[in-house]
Amino acid sequence: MSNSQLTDALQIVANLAQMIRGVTAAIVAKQPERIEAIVPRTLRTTLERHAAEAAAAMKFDDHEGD
Amino acid sequence: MRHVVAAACAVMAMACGTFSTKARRSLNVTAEVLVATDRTASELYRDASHLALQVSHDAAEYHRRMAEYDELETVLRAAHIALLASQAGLDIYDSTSSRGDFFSSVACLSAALGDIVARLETITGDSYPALESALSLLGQYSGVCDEQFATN
Repeated sequence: MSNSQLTDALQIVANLAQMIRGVTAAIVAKQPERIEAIVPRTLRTTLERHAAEAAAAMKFDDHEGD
Repeated sequence: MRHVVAAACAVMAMACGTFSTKARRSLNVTAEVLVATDRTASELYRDASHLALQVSHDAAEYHRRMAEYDELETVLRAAHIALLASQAGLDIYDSTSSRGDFFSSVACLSAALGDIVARLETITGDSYPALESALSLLGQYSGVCDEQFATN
């Protein structure tokens, strides 16, 4: 094998390696996320319920205490 | 070179097409739908609670007026828990190849999503196609919900 052929072969391998790296990066980027990264720890509706129940307790407890 | 290309294709096929990856993508879609539904539900809850606080004469009346909204919040929370349990079931599958926990959790998740649809439709009279789509997506993972995600 001449030096020229060897250089061409190495270039092909280098290009292939680069292509595989690109494909791998694309696959990794499209991997599904963990649920914790999408959904909040506490739902907004739950926070609203807690706030509303606290407000209701404050309002009606005050009235009942009158 | 042929071997290298074949190996790369095999890696791609595994990454794109395994049961676990497909199932995780289905859970991701369901999670996105749950977040959007939670946003809608929180606004409904806030409006209803403001009104109930204004017009109710005592705590009993307030809770009566809020009952169906409280049920909506409860089933949303159950879906949230079942979603995390489904992910845990997939983690177990990845390490043991046992799909039982995943299928069972997904069945509970589907049941909770069905409850959310029913309660939202009762409250608003609207339909919820995104939730229906998530339910269809999860339908391919058949199982029996043998666990109640009690949130009371």
